[in-house]
Amino acid sequence: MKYLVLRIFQSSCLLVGVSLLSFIFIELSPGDFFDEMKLNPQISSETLVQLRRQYGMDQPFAVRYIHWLKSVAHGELGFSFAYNAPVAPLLRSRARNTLLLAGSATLMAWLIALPWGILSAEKHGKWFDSGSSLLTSILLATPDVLLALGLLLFAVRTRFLPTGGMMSLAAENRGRWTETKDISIHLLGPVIVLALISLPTLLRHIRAAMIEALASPCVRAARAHGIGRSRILLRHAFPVAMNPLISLFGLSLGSLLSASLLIEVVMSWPGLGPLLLESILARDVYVIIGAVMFASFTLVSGMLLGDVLLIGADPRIRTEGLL
Amino acid sequence: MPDARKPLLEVRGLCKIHRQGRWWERRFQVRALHNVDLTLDAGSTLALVGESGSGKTTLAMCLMGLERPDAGDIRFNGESLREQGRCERARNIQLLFQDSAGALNPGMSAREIIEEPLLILGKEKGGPRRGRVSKAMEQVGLPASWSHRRPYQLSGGQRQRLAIARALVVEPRLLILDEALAGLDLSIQGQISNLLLDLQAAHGLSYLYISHNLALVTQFADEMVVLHKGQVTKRLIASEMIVTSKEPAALAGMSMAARALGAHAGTGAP
Amino acid sequence: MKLSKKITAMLIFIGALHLAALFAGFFAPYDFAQQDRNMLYSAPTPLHFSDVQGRWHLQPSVCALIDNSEGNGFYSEDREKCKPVRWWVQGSRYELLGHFQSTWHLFGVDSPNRIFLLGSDGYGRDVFSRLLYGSQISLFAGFLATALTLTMGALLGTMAGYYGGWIDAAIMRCVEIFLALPWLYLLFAIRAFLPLHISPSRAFLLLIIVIGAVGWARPARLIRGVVLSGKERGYCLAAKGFGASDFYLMRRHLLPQTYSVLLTQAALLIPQYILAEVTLSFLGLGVGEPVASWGNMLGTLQQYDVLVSYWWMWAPGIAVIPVFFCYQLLGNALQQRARCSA
Repeated sequence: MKYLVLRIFQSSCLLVGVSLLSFIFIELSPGDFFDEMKLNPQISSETLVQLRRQYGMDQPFAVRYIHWLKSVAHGELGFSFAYNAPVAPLLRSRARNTLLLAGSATLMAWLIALPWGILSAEKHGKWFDSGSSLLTSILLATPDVLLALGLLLFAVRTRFLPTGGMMSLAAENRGRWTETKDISIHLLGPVIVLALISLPTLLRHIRAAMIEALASPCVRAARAHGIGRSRILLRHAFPVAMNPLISLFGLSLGSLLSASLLIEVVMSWPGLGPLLLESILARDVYVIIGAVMFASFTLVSGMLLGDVLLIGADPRIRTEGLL
Repeated sequence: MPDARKPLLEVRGLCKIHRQGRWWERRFQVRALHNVDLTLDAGSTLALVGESGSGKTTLAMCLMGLERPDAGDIRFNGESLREQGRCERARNIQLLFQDSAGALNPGMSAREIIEEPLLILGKEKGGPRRGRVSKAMEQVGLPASWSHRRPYQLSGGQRQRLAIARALVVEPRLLILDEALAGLDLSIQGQISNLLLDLQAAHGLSYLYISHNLALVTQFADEMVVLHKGQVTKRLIASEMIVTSKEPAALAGMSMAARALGAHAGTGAP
Repeated sequence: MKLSKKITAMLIFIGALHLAALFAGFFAPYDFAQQDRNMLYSAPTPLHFSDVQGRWHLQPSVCALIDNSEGNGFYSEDREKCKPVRWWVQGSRYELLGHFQSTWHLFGVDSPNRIFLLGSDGYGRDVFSRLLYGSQISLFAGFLATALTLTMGALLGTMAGYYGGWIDAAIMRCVEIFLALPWLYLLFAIRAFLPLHISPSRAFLLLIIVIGAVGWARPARLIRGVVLSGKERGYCLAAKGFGASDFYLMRRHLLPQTYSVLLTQAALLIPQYILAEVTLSFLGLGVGEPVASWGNMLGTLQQYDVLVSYWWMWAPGIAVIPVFFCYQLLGNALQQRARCSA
């Protein structure tokens, strides 16, 4: 329990550190939101000065940071210049969509990778294993962008999947069930792409962990006892392999979030990705910070969750005490 | 010139505390050495014995300047070691480790290993340096044709010879042997001990031999100091080094066999 | 550091690839910005080994294309106007390594015929030439950014591992903060706070610095581990006993141990960084027009009609696959080697 509290404290410090880092980047960067307006001859420079003062952009670094922290405490996360609204509500729906995408993709990836990896490990060295290795190598060598574009092409040509967005107009306000079905079919494309992106590394690690587990003395003993193949796989080898896999989950979260950023933009899924890109092009500073903080928060929570799961899954950690 | 009456090495009141954990946590302080006194005369061998954790290696590290003592004074030939520079100290005192494989960089050849101290101390130019390296190899009984071999191509005994050559190439006055013979086969131990004795006779070296193996120690040492939990508990000279079952707990931790061997070793001082 | 034949072979192959990229100007028949407004989005020009009379020639020839009068952007050949492909032609001027100028090209065709091996893009520029010039940008961005990351990581990791204490604590906290952000978000954040509209050459440099500065954390942690375990080894203590300075120890004993880790990390990071450049340029945040980069070439695929109709525009994306595959094989071989010697 004490360990958990310590970790939560550490994670919060980490998030504060991340926010500080982001603010330092703004501090070091030339230009801001209002620079675009400078190009417009109709807007005088006095107006710009006024606007800057209004939004507090002329304040020193420390003051702006403290204001932002206060705003976070109020649940607002700063103010968006482009949308003329607080950042938090903007993020909320987008963040929800991103989590939906990332969560579903993780689920799909693990559902495919687990049985495939376990089977590969068992048939280590045979043609199934070698074939899978080759396939995953080629998949790993394919850039994410290409996979996303490929799926879009497929969607356009075959019309099996919608080509973007989250919901079609026809399905709006038609009742819960229709909406859910509609969202699901729109979700399918991006989820498939994200799952394909995460699959190679996942498969590799699962296979490696299972191979090691199958070679361990306790499994050999079980085999010597004459215990059947599937029981060995599931009840003896797999729990041993779980330990590194749970750590893998925490670590792979970062790359998953990064990949989802790109996929959302390419496939027009209304998540954090398009919002972030838009804000970058518009230099809407607080939205950028908000989105980055949210991503960081998700990653840190994911890693924390991984640690907690590890404590639950590996009894050795529980009894030996934690390092 | 070394004064024959003055000891080569004098250690007075040496104290060292190891701190583990966070600096504000007091409970992790371990007293490695407490008020240790010892003297070593030129040309003689002092054995430092004690069980694991008694502070022997810490003492060696302090003498080598690899760790800083918290209190006390170390004098080499009358001068305080603290006032001497690293290079000065290196020219006088050298250290041999137990794990010869770990003590030698696996990526370097024998020649490079022996040459290294000369390079660091910046003593010689290319020609004389090579001469000293060859001489060192010869002294320890390694053929000159092996100068290109790497440590993994040598056996345990040969590696230890290489380490001795490296230590000798700077012509030190004192050699600290930190369990240098442990981990070798018995016959190799004999060979290396003989080599060390020969070198001592030829160059007037002094040895500080650290060990927890009583049998080996009694073969070579003139004097023996026993360390227990960082403190000196016993001093013996050669003729007193007969271990009987009546010896107090300070010598506990030695193997039965060593004790039995020691019973016959009283006459073995060189 | 000894390397097996397999690894050396792969390194040579990758080196050859980069060398070919450097000589892009020679291999490419056209300049990357050379436009032909009459031939927008033309498919790859077919090479004919037989002429109009049906006779076979060793030298292929290329026929002129005419725009179909319907104006739907598709071209058909005019078999009357064919010209042979010639080798060692003089063509547009280009620069080698920023210093030497040359006009020699490997192959070409006399105007007005065009040899578009991979078709042309929306401005009538040769995709094959742009692919080659683009490889300069994309491959070298990855390579140079990796060099930057590994230098930073090695420096900070060695300092943290060697000196310990508060230096170690401070560097490790920074490492944790950098690792608490998904890398693409971090990349975007840093890119966001830099000027958006900059010249392509400046953008290239900026991209290298940004991508390189983002990823130092993981290598730094690995190097720190190597240095921590290395500095306690007997030979380091012995060298210290001889009076060696910190700098000597780091240079002579500790750094050589890190080479293996650095090489393995390089094989992993270079493809990641090439991908980062491609992603950023794809989204318009990287190297911009008119300079070709595989990223900004793929960016045009975001338009519906390009995506669906002009298959040759996918070339940069396909070209990446063998490069990454090669780096993957290299990375696997290096990891295998590291595991075996451990």
